[in-house]
Amino acid sequence: MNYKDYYKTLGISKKATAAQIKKEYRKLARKYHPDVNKASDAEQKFKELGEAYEVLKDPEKRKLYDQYGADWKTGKEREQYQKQQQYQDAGFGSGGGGFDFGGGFENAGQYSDFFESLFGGGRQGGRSSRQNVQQKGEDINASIVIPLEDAFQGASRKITFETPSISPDGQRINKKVSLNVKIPKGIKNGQKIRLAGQGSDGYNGGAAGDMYIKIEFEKHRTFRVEGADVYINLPLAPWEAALGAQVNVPTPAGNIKLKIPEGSAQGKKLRLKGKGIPAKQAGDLYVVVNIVLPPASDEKARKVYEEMKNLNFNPRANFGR
Amino acid sequence: MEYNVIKVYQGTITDEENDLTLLQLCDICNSLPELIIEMVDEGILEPMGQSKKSWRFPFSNVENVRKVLRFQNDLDVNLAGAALALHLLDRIGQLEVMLERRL
Repeated sequence: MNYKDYYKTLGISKKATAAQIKKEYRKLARKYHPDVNKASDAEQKFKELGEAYEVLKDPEKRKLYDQYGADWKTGKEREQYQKQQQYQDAGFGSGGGGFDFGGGFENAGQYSDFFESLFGGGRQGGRSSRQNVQQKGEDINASIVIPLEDAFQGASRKITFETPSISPDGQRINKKVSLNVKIPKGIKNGQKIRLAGQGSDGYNGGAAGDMYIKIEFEKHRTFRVEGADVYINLPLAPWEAALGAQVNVPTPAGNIKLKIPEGSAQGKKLRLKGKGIPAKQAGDLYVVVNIVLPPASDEKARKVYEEMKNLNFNPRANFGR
Repeated sequence: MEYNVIKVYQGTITDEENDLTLLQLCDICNSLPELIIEMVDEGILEPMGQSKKSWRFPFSNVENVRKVLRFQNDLDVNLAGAALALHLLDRIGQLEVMLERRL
């Protein structure tokens, strides 16, 4: 357990007045608020600020912290503090606990070990021991990677995750949970599925939170997805593209026979309306022509290429203009 | 023969929930109806429908409600201040997208 220098966290001196503490906290809270600051450590910083302010804004807590905080590691100080705590709990002082951290971020109510050992609360029974109001449980966010085909056919996938929970003897534990979740047909990359009531348990009989599952598609060698549209690179021989052909194309919905019109140029997109992801507004399937040249590696191929010279084709007719 | 019965949970795709009632929105955001009504009066939320009973909110409002509640709780700003912060964050988001496209 590490000592926390709350004065340093807020960048103030030990002699700071209540007004200075509030001012510095507000300034830093605006700067590091996770809704405003996108840096990855902003949320952690914001929590630390909240904890420091929680202690320093309250004259009682600040006094305790000043008196015992720095020497907390030594047993003697701890003993002395605990004695005083018992005295307060017996009804002679204002007592600790009973406050509410107004966070709202997940786990924002969790203080550092240092804080909890100094001011109590938290460890046993979680929030429920501090507040007796009914409260909705926290939402759980999870994500799942699925093959693109699931979005075309729909599927059921099992997800496993850990959720904070309270054991029968009142300890805060992480419970392992598995759920079979229906992947609805037509879902798109990045969309979220909401399972009402599958989040963490509520407090004091409050409703359970919700669960949010973010959908991500597996990377695919042939398919590329943009919203509800799916792109397939279709390798074609030069003569198939030039003369037209009928080819088999594997799509996420199964194989299709596709007619390639004659004179299809490299990069040309053939649009199959409504054959993309079957979302509420169905996407389109784009087959992109990708002409592959046969290697001139044997006599026969070389001969054909030699003959093609007679076409007098100039690929650079419009080059550099 | 033995069968394993597997319970499959069916959810809703949040993007497609565009018809949340006032109470459903309250439930999802863990908020009181009065707070949501204040946000509508302030112009932060613009539901479809004329009366409170017929209000329908898109799911995208959920994040806005949560942000406003956090701004109020964490930074002690009033509703108008939270609305302004939300508006400016939106603007920053748009500018960041424009900037990314230029680079």
